[in-house]
This record gives sequence, structure tokens and C-alpha cells, in this order.
Amino acid sequence: MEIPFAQQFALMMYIVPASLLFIGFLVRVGIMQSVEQVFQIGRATTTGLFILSFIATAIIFFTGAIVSPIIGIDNIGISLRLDALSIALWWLVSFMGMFIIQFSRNYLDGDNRHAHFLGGLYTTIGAVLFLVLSGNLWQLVIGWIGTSLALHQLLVFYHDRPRAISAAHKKFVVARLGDACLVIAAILIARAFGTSDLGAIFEATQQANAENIVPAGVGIAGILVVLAASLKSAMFPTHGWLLEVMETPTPVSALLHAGLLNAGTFLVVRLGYTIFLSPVAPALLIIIGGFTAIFASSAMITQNSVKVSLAYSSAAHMGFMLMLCGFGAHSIAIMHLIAHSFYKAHAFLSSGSIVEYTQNTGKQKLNTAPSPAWVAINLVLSLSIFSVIAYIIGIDVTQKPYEMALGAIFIIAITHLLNKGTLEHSPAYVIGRTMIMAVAVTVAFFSLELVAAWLLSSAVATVTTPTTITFVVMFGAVFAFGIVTMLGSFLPILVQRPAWRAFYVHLKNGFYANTLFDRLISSSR
Amino acid sequence: MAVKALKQPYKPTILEQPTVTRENAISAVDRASRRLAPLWSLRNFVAVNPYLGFTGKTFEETAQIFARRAGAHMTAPRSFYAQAIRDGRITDTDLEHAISDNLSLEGASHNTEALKAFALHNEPDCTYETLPTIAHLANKATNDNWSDFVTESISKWAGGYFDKGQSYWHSPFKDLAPFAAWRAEAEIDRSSEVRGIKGFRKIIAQLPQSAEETIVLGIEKLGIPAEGLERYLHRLMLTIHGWASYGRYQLWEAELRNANDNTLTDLLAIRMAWEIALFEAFSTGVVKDAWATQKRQFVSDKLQEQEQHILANELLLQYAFEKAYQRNLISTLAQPKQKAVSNRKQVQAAFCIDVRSEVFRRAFESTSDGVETIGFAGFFGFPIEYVHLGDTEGGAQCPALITPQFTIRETVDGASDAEIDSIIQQRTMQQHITKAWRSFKMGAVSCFGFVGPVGLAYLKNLITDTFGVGRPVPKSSTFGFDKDTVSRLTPSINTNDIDGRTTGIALEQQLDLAEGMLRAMSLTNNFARVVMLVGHGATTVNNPYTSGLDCGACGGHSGEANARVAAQTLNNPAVRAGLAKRGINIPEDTIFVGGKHDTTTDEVTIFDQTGIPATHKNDIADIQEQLNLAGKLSRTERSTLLNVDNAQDIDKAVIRRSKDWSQVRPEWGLAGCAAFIVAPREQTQGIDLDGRSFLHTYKWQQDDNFSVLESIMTAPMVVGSWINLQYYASSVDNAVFGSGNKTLHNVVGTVGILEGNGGDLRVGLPWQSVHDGENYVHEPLRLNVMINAPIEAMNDIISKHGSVRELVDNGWIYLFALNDNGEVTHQYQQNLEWDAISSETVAL
Repeated sequence: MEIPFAQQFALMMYIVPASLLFIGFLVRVGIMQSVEQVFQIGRATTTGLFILSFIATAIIFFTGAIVSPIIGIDNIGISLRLDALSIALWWLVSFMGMFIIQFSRNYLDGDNRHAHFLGGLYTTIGAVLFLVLSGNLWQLVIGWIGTSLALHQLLVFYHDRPRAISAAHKKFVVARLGDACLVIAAILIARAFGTSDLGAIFEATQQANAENIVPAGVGIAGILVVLAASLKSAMFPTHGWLLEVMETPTPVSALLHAGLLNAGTFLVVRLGYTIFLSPVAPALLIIIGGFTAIFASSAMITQNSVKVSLAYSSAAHMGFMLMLCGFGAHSIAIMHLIAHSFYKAHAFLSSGSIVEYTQNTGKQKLNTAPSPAWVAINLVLSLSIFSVIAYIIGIDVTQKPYEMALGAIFIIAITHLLNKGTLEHSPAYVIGRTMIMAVAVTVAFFSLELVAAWLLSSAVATVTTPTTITFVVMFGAVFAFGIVTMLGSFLPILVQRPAWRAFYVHLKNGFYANTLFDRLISSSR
Repeated sequence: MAVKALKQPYKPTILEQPTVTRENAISAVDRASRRLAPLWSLRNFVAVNPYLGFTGKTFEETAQIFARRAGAHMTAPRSFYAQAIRDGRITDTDLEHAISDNLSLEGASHNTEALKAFALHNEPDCTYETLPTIAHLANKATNDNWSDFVTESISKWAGGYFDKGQSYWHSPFKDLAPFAAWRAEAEIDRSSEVRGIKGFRKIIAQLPQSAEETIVLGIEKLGIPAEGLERYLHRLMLTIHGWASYGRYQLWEAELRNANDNTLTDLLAIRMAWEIALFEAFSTGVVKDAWATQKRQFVSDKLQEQEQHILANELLLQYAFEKAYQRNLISTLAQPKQKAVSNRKQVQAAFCIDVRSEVFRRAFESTSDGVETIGFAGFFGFPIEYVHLGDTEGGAQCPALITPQFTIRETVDGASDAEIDSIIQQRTMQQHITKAWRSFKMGAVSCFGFVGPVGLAYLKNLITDTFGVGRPVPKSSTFGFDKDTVSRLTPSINTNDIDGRTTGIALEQQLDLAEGMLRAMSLTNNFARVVMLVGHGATTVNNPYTSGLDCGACGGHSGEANARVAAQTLNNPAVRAGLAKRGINIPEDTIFVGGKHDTTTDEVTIFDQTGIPATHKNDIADIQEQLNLAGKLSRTERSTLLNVDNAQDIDKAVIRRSKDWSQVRPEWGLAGCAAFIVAPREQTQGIDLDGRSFLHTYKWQQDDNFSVLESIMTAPMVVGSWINLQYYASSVDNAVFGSGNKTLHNVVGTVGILEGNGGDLRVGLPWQSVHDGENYVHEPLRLNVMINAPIEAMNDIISKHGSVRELVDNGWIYLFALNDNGEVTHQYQQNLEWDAISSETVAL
């Protein structure tokens, strides 16, 4: 049978994950031992893959999404998919990979298992690429499980550290639960639509969604997908492992927080309209994601060690992205994913600078609360900035409910920035500069949204008419974000009240979810 | 906070025979507290002798105590010595000497063959059986790790309580004393109960309000034998070693100011509260029974016979290893020296005694006959607090043993007051904006508005930081100033005030400081045309331990300010006139300049060049050229240790290292330090001391009543031994005395380091700072102090100062006498007795 060029090209792109997995394998079995050799080959390969992602982009620009033929027996096997979503993530992962590999060269200098460490990085990056390039459900499942197993090797890199072992064990338990959810969901979806091809599923779910027909089992599958994503992305109350896995060198944390953790959002986005076929799955996603976002970002400000604080921050952002997925704003979720990856990888790799950073910004403290009048003024200001820029660019946010919700959260955030800039009789210069920053960030916000829509709209779902229940939950989430921000602003005058003191203790301890997990694990031994 | 009286007196449920009085208990708390060494915060990470509380005991006794109370080792793994024997570095004679010098060491082998067999026998290192705590007994009884849980829990609380600015929502209990704060939190915190300790909060609520009473209660309840009090309390502190050491630091600082501080007592009370709670919670059964028999162990630190045998033999091997080093050093010093040229020099450059200066000084001297170098404590005798521009408080830039006497503020050269005010205001605004931005970035909820639009910009940071262009965050000391201002920043010795505090140094005091400095560095005549005072500092990025690489004599800061202040003082005509009256005549054509030796890159900067008279411009140009050449030579010498590939451009590679955010060993710091030589430079000049020796210039002939010698032996020598023992301890047992693996480091509260996700605060140096992955770069050696001075003079000082006597009598440092040719003639033994060094020892 003649295979068209586009499909051949897609097939050839198995080289992307395969090359790194192969090098990782050579290191693991001891064929490659010299650190310098392992480093050079790995860096060169990853750089090559990064460049290749642009060639792939050029090709799909002309051909549209392409899928490789199935490798396997009959129709059961794996296939590779190139579309805007998979290539965007390929680009992201290989870019991160280059910098993380480069960082690991000097950082682990002298470690007698340095080469093994690099090999483990390659295997994990390779596994992530295998996952994001999935063309069908089976590759998705294999990649999903494979990334977790590859990461496990890195988490127990210092296998003589009991804390590393116990943290990895926790992660292992959570990951296997997530695997089970995904495997069942995959079977249900494949049976319902009679195909495992992700493109076909995307179209079928889109159509089903439009016609409001829910094939048998898909409703449950949607919920299972939400659960699998939540377990992968450290949603409350299963986030405990994320707070503990910094028992391995910093580059692994960078890779985890800028890479593997994103798999939850990727899964939900990749399966497109599937979750919207379940009446409760989107709402569930908003509740789990939104709660984790609020919980973890609030717990983050009570943390005093740099890496744990960053881990809470990641859990919060993962929650936020899943919530956006529940809103139906998939393209924005992916752009947030990419932006967060850059931010978080840098934050981890530069975590040794925190002492200097704190010196420069002055120590973090609960300073005076803003006066309610200023809060009102700033709210109006940020709303005006938002509206004016939206008007100039020509975006009508009232068109889509999720844009309104997102816009509201963004306006709240900008109000917070303005509050901080106008505190304590700020001179005009400071207020002016803060305003300029607010405008710049708002412009960036809209530009990003436009770019996201332009880049990804062909590959991801957009739901503009949420069901009533989703709409109610969405409204509730925005309301909760607003309340939390307000309370946060007035925290300085609240903290000394007994109830708030107690709340501080509970929050700092993450509502004891992780402690309970510890107990369960220890009693199961 | 006032201590509230208990409404109802607490009635302990069990009371064993009350053999311990309250006074006994309180005094044991104080003694146990003083066993700990302080831990400085990361902002001024000063080296400290981790065995500080034990200098009154011998090295061997201390090794036994740490084995018993912390399971710690005070010698390297046996395989290290085995390798040294196989390589012929330790000879049979060294082993013989080790045995014959330590005949009374309990459990040690008595013949060379047995000792050698012991060393070469391939056996895993001994795991010492430590003294029990309730938490450890609970581990065994329940097969769950309660001792870790306790340490973790206290550390988590302490991280919040002692946080100096990492968390935005900091502990609302911060204004309470530590014990009260902990208690308040523990009564709310459900963690312990969720984890399975029934009734924890209730037990805590019933404890006395006062820390001391809680400790006394615990002692009574647990029935600690009277003779074991200090031992037990010290054992408890060692389970929270890091935070307790930080508490000890609070006490140290308070006592320097003649104040008191109860942080450490409070921390001990917290740990005791846990003992009580676990004792109550596991009251039925095994824990109580086990404790009843095991608490008797607290009457002594005796090890089991086999353990004692291993410990003693390992000490002998360490002793033999040191013998071998001394043998080599003694013969190195016996080499013929370069003849000193007696002409007037073009430059006399005083560097810090730091071992890193030795390499550079040797290189600098080799560039020209006109160069003479001097070794002196890098704060140049100017104990100052240096307040950076725009700040109101600064760091103490003097050795940790003393308090700063003067406050020096930074100013902008040639700027009017109005201009300075506007610069400061500009910076304050800059800080405000950065802070608002940080709040936006790290606020709950607002972080989502931040990351989406702004996160992509970090792509640029990833690239620039990876390629070493710029740094992850701006340098704190220059943050918020423009380039021009930064280049004009300079310390001001003129009197002024900041926030009502007087700054600057009055003329009379300038004169005293100047005279003190010159006499202490034996520089009172033959002044060169240029006298350079060179402080030092390190350039690194993304390194929490950066202040640990700065000048120890300047309290973990760069010595730049001290050097500039000293030079300004010595250039003051009024000071010169005063000095002349006191018998020190500095020629009119002599100028003093301040400089800084960057120990990471071996570049030397000369400051305040605009003030240099035209007559000396050429001298400075010459000197700068020689310094550049010396830098090149030093970098080449250090490149082997830095593992810089020979094919690379060495200069580039070394400098690149100082900007590399992924570099865990930007430089080797003081690793390798093993000797401290107090003598005129002529006695060591031209000898390659391999960057392992502190060098203090000293001419005993000029020291009328040996007051300079006295100050050297009581200050720089002690500080040198602190540094040496910190390296020693971090290399022999990094788990207990070091801070572990740098790749896992997690900064807490800007105060210190956690390794990984939690656990106790870590003390000491990272493993990467003493070991290159294959070999020790700091091989464990106690400091060998060699002084060219009459033995009687040294004996007088030793007998006058108890603290010095402890160091030399108890084996914390080795002391040798040098003759006027710089050859080692005698070794100090004990009790003011010296042995002549026989020629055969040297010849070997």
C-alpha cells in the first residue's frame, strides 16, 4: 500500500521520542559511560529535536494535522499525531530539555552517577515527547504510564535517602490510581466511538456535543479523565507528593514542574470535547481545579522554604489550568501551560538566588492594608484599562462566558498589583510606574489570548455555551477568587484575630491532607 | 512576654525518686547549651568550630561523646586511611609514632601490624549505638519513624517562626517567645493527631507555661539520673542540631552585646515537650518499660568495647595521617628561601591571612623584585559596621569574636547631600516597585494574572542565565543604583549620622587604629612608595553560600570596605603627623591604596584611583599590570583543582565559572587549609605552600612585650582553627557536621538550608565544598600552627589564656616553633612542654 508523504513524515517523527529513549537506554545498560560524551550527545540530540519542531510546523502549516499509520497489528497499535497542539508541546519540551540538560552538566559535576542522571533525564524527556505526540489512545496510555515510570527513576536517584524513597513511593501510589482511571476511560471511549484515533475522537465528540447526544459510557469516561488529570497534576487532596519530591537534584524539579505535571492539562485538552459530554465532568474540573488553585496559592504565601513554596505555586497553576479547561478555554489553558513552564523552570533553577532576591525586594511582610477607597479606585482603574484595551484591540469579552470569567479574574489580579503600588503614600513616580506595568500586562494578556486562538484553535476544543451547572460553578469560582483576593488584601488587619491565627496553622499544614496520607501509607506497610 | 502562673499546679503522673533539684536542672540546661556551636545565617555565613563547646575536653574524648550522642564520626572512613597507607603516604613510622604518642588511648591497638591490618581490613564504617530518646524508643516500639517526625515537625515550625522574609503570611505568633509561640501553634495544629499521637494537643495544653519549668518537668517525669542531665539534654538538642545551633547563635550575639537570650532554652523545652507527649501517648507498654532500663545509660558516654576499639584505632590512623603531613611540611619549610632584596620596594601589599591569598601573593611576588607582600587579618584591625547607601543598618565587618566599634556609611564620591538624597529616594522607589511586582507575582490569585501574560518573558531569563550574561537577580549591594552611581560608591570615614547613630571615625581613634594596624603587621619602617591594603571577596551567582566564600575576618562580607577605610585613614595627613609622634614615620611619598582580591577570578581591583596623586600614577599602572599577570598565574595554578580543561582558555574558563548559575563549585574556598604560619615573609618566600597555609606576617624582634604575638595567638589563630575545624568536620561526617548535597539544597527563611524537602536545618559546609566526587579536596587535618617566636613567649601566652591552652593541650591544633631561618625546631606537647624535632623525623 502506498503511504502519502505526509503520513510518512509523521511516521518518521517517531525519531523524536525514540532518539532520546535510545540514548537513555544506552546509558542505562552501560554502553555509554563517559559523562562528557553522554552530555554532548544528549544536548545535540535535544537541540536537533528543537530545530526539527520548526520543520514540522512548516509542514503542517501546509498539510494540516497529520497522523502516522498505526504501528501494530490490525488496528491495534500506536500512532503519532502532528498538529498545532502536539507540535507546540514538542517545541516546549525540547526547549526546556536543552536548558535543563545544560544546567545539569556542571550542577552534578563529580557525582559518580552523573551519566546515569543525564540518561534518566533523556529517558524522561523522551517519554514526555512520546506522550505529547500521541496519535491514538493507546499511545496516550503508554506514554502516560511511561512518563511516570521514567520520572520515578529520577525521583529515587539518591536511593540511599529514605525521604526520597518515601516521597517517590507516595507519588507511585497516586500515579497508579491515575493510570487505572485513564485505562478504563480509554477503553470506554474507544468502545463508544469505535476508534482509538485521537483526531477521529475529537471530531466525533465535537459532533456529539453539537447534537447533544452522549454515547454510552462516555459520561463516565469524562469523569475518569478528570480524575486521571487531577491525580497527575497534584490536585488537592492528592498534592502531598508534589511537596516532597525535591529529594532529587533541582533540574528534576524543573523538569517535573515545567513538564510532566502539565500532562493533566494536556490530557483534558487532547481529548477535546469528551469531558463536555458528561454533564458533571466540566463542573467537577472547575471545582477540583479552582479549589486547588485557591488553596495552593493561599498555602504558598505561608511557606518559608523556597522549593516547597514553588511546589505549592505549581499545584495552584495546575489547578488554574484545569479550571480553565472546565471553563472550555482550552487554548488559553495551553498558553498558560507554556508560560508557566518557562516561569517555573527558571524559578527552580535560580532558587539559590532567593536570599539575594529577598534582600533586594525587602523582606516579605504583611504591611498595611490598602484603604477601601483605594481598592475601589484601583478596581475601577483596572476595569477601565481592561475595557479600553479590549475595545482598541476589538475583542468583545461578553461574547464568551469563559472570557468574561477569565477577564474578571485578571481584573482582580491587576487590582491587586495596583493596590500594592499605591500603598503607604506612594510617590507619583511609583504609582505611574505601577500603572504602566498594569497596562503592559493587560496588553500582554490580550495578545496572548489572540495568539493562542490563532495558533491552537484548529487543534483544541472551544466551548462557548456551557451547561447551566457549569455556568453556575464557573460563576461561583470567579466569586471565590474575588473573595480570596479581597481577604488577602485585608490580611494585615485580620491576622491577629484568633480564628485567623488558627486558620493560618491549618492552611500552613495544607489542611493535613498530606499528613493523613503519610499515616495511611505508614499503616499499610 | 510575662510568664503566666498556672491556674492549677501541674501534677506529674509518675514521680520517680526526685534526685534532681531544680537548680541542678537549670544549670545543666546552661551547660548543655554551651556544648553547641553557633550557626550563622546565610547572609553572613561565618565559619565556626563545630566542636566549640568541647575544646575543654580532648579531641579523643570528644570523638567518643559525639559517637555516643549523635552517632557521629570524627575521622574519615577507614578506606581513606587504607588508601593513604597503600599509596605510601602514611608510612610504618607514622603509624609507630601514632601508637607511641597515644599509649593511654583506651581500646587502641598497640602494634603497627595490628593497626595496619585494622586499616586495610575492608569493613563498613561503624554505626554507633546512640543514647536513647523517647522518640527513638517509640520508633522501635511501633516500627514507625517518630524521631524523624519530631525533628520534621519542630523544623517546620521553626522555619516559620525564624523566617526572615520568605513567606508573605508569616507566623502570627512571631511576637511571642519561641516556646510560647510553639505552644500556641501546637494547641491548634492537628498534624500530630492526624498522624496518630492521641491527645497530643491536650498533653501540650497541660504543660507549664514556662520553658524552664517544662524542661524541669520532663526531667522529673522521665527520671533522668542526676549525673546524666547534661548528657541527656545535649542528646535532645542534637536531634534538632541545626535549629538549636541557630538558637545558640542568638545567644552568642546577645552575649557579645552583654545581653541574654533564651531562644535555645525554649527550643530545648519544645523538644522536651515532645518527649513528654510521646511518653504519655505511648504510656501503655513497651516504650515506658524500655525507658526504665535504658535511661541508666545516661550516666556515662562509654561506648561498647568493640566500638571503642574501632574509634580508638581510627583516631590513631588520623593521627598518623597528620604525622605524615607534618613530616612533609617540615621538610618543605627547611628548603632554602629566596634571598630578600633590601632595596626600597615599589609596593608593599597586605593581603588577608586567608589560605587563598598564599597562591596569589606568591604569584604577585614573582612578577617583580619591587613587590613585597604582607599577611594580616583581612579586616585590617578596623572593626566596622558597614552601612550600604540607603540602608540604616549594616553587617558587622569584623571577626565573629568581637563587636564592631565604628559605623561606616557608604556615600557617593563627589556628590552633594541633595544629590545623595535623590539617589536614595530613587532607589527606595525602585524597591517599592519591585516589591509591588513581587506581590503581584507571588500573591494568592494574582499569580494567575501574572504567569499567563508575563511567564513567557522568562524565556529570555533562561537564555541569559544559561549563558552567564547578567545574573538571575541583581546584586543586593548595588540594586537600584545606576552604573555611574555604582562606580562612585565609597565608604566615608568622616563623622556623620544615620538615624541618630554616629558614623565615621574621629581623628584620635583613627590614629589608634592606624598605629595598631601597622604594629600588628610589623610594618613600622621601610615603607614602599605604594602600600596596598587588599581585602577579598568572592563573585558567584545563584549560590546561597556566597557569603561563606567572602572574608571570614570581615564576618562573612567582602573586605573591600575595611581596606578602603584603612587606606583613607592612613592617607590622612593628621593621622600621619600623629603617627610620627608615636615613632612611626611614613615617608611623604608613600601612599596607601585600598584594593580587593576576587578569590573566584583572581582579579585585583584598586579603588579610589581618582584620589591618587599624579606622581604615583605610573606606579599604580605598573602595579596593576603586575597584578594582572599574577592573576593569570594564580588562575593557571588553580585550574588543575578546578578541573578546567587545559585545552580551554583558562582565564576565560575561570571567569565564566564565577557567572555560571549551575556551578556548585565556583571556587574551592579554603578547602585544603592545614597550616598557619606566623613569621616574616622572608622565611616562606618562594616556597610553594600549595594554597593550604594561612600566612601571618610577624617579626618578634619588633614586638616589645609580645603583645602582638598575644593578639595573634588569641584572635587570628583561633579564627584559623575555627575555619580549619569546620572544614575538618564537614569532610569527616558531612551528615552531622555538614550541610549535605548542594543539588538538594532548599533555602529556608533566608536563614539557612534544608536538604531536600525538609528535616532539620543543616550546619557546616556542603559536601561539594570539600570533595570533588572522587577525592577529598579538603583532606581532614587539624591545623598546624608554626610560629617564629621564642618558646618562653609562647608559653607565657598559653598559660595566660585558658582558651588558647585548651586548643593546644587538648589536641585541637598542633603548635610548632620556627627558628629565625624559618625551620621547624620544636613541637608543643602538653602542659607547656616542647619536644625538639629530631632530624630523622624530617629526613624521612
